[in-house]
Amino acid sequence: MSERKEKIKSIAIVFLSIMLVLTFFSNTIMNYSLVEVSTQGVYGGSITTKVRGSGTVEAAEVVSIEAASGRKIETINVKTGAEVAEGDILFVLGAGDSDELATAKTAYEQAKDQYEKNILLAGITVAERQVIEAGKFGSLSDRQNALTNSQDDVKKLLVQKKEIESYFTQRDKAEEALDTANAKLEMVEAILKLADNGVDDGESEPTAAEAEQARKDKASAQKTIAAKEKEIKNINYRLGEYAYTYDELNQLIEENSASEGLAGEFIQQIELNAEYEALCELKEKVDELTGTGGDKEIKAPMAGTVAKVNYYAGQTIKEDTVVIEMKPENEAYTMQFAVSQTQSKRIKPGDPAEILYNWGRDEITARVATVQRDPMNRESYIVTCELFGDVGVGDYYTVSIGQQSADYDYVVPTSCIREDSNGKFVLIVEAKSTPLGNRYYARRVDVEIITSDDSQSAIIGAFDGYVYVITTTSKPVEENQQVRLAE
Amino acid sequence: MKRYRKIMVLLAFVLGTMLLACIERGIMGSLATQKLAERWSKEEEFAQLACYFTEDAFFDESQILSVEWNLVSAMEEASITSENEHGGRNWMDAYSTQGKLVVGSSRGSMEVRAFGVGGEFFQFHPLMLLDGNYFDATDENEDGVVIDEMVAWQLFGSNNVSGMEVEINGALYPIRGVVRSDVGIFSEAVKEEAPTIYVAYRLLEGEDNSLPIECYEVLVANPVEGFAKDAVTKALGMTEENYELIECSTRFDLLHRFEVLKNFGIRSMTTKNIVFPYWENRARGYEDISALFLVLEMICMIYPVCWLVKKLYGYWKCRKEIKKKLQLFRVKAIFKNSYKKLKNVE
Repeated sequence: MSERKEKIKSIAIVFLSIMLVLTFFSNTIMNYSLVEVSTQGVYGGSITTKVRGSGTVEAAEVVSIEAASGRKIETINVKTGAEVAEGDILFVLGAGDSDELATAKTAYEQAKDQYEKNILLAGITVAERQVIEAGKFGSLSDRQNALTNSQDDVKKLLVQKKEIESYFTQRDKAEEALDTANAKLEMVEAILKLADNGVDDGESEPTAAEAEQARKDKASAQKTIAAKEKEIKNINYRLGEYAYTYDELNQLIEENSASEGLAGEFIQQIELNAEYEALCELKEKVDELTGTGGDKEIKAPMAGTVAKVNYYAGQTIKEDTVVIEMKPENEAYTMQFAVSQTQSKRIKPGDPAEILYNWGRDEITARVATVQRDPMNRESYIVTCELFGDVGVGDYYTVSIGQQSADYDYVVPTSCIREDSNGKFVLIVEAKSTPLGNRYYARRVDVEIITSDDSQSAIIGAFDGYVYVITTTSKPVEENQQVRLAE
Repeated sequence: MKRYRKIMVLLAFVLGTMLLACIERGIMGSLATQKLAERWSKEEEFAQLACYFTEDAFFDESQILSVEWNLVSAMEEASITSENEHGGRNWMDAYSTQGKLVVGSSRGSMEVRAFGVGGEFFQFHPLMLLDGNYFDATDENEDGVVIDEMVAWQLFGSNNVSGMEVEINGALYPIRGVVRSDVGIFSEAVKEEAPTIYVAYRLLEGEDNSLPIECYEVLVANPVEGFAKDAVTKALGMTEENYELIECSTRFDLLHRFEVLKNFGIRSMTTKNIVFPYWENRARGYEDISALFLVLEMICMIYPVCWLVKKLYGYWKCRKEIKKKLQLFRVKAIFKNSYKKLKNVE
């Protein structure tokens, strides 16, 4: 019995001791079980929004130095990156006639033969040939007008011819009627003569009625003869008013109707002129190649930097081959990079750009040259920046543009902005005083982000006075949860 | 004494089951990458899904736009808007792919595991920030990187390095934040502690656009069970051989744990050419542990369940006597009450 009592007593003492220790250290234990948080005050500040981009430098404008003729390169006097002044010898070509000269000479001879042949076949005079070679055969408008006028004249002549032919027809009819009337008159006069003078043997005497009829017919015939003579006279008068006779008209019409010939003549002039000009070009080329046969040194047309050397000494190149590419002095290098539509609205041509991470090097300045939509991606824009200073083709730079600062009432580190299905929010620390000391609780405040940069964000929220937001926590924290401040 | 011993044993088993359940909850609760749906909303139902693609799937950023479009359309058909009345989002997504990068600073350089990420990756993976902050899809200058403390230590000797630059492929990129690796039970096995850098997906993709996306994660409102999974499956529009879709928000539920037990033999087999990132490998390991705990809990509950069944059976067998006793008890109680009333009246 006593053993049991002892046992119970021991258990009770142990239990009470444990409870006492836990009571004394309850606050400490509780604190260690709480989530530790670090906080920062919410103050006003400025946010600087920047647009950053990176790209490789390219030369803005490259001048190509070509070989005028195909030769062997004797020496190349410059290297990539070398700075040259105007007139410096860039490379030297080997001497002698080139393949191009021989080819040009052959082409010239062939073209000349063909031209002479065509001149002879055209059958034109020396003066006409000289006009063609001088190119002074009138403008296209003049020739078109000549063709048109020629065609109009023909039309007029044809109209006249038709009128004359109509008059001829009328006159023929009138003459025929006249002849008929004359014949009738003769007949009735004969009858009247018989009636007046009596008849000879073997002829019958016309009766009184016949004689009367004859008299009437005579009057009618005379009347008809007078009318027709008058008509014929009028027709002849009208025919006389025309500038040309019928035969002359026919001849004129025949001459002017050869308008195909006129157009053909013009076309022939053009073709011959073109042939002549081509011949002259070939001649010039031959002269040029012949003239530069001894010209071996190719010099820099302006001061600048050698961007690229495409060949080496000893190589044979063809005519118009680009041997060296040069970047003229004082021309800017360019660099391109892509930005979003939102970023493009903050940049405009002429904005200065800051070169980032450029420590220990000579100063380089940059500015925005163009902002254009990317044809390959409608949502992207290509920004082209010009760089000045100690810049080389192929260098890689990062630039920062469009630094616009603005002040805001509440600026917090971006890391303290959280989000859930109810939107974005921050957790602020609220202190409550208790007999055992201050206790801190996390309280939610819904916020809206106005803008942000790399590390901070400007927000709008219902903050009462100075508050402290929770930036980082040792474990996830929920609203109204008790927390412990970091020491 | 024997009776007390029985009760003690019974209590021990029940307490053991509860303890195992608490330990299991504690372990699974540490997997923050699988708990976004719970964190996102307490009032509404959301589902978190993760889709892992095979190499043959060639899933890239252009397809993500198509998936998002299809998903929003599916939600609109179900009368779910993209934003609720509080301005909170009803869906969001993230994607990532793994690679390697050589990262350098003035102190030196090192090859690190790199995750090219996009969307709201750090909402799905809330790694603990030691300095600075994360970057996300709203960042206009897509050049920030987040490094873990091992990289920070190797390259700079400190964690307080946000705002400084690291060199990658000859270009300099600002450090936005430093995080602690989310270590757990299988950290070594899944190589969680490998030095890691998180960069924008396009930085890892490079100029040749040849790196496909390996993981696509999405959080969607789930008003009814299975809605989110169906909507995402339809939005993907790919054959099942090319991807594996996992509903993370329910993977530690009781039913799913039974599912894991059911697939015990075939679970370790894989017929798809998918390489899971470390967080998924870790979650799969935790699923196995969770199933193991379920087995232990079931074992612990055998005795109490048997005892309960036996008790109930005994009561059922003696139901007539129990009924009689109850009636007697009622009569006694009525009689007692009447007697009291009578005494009071007197």
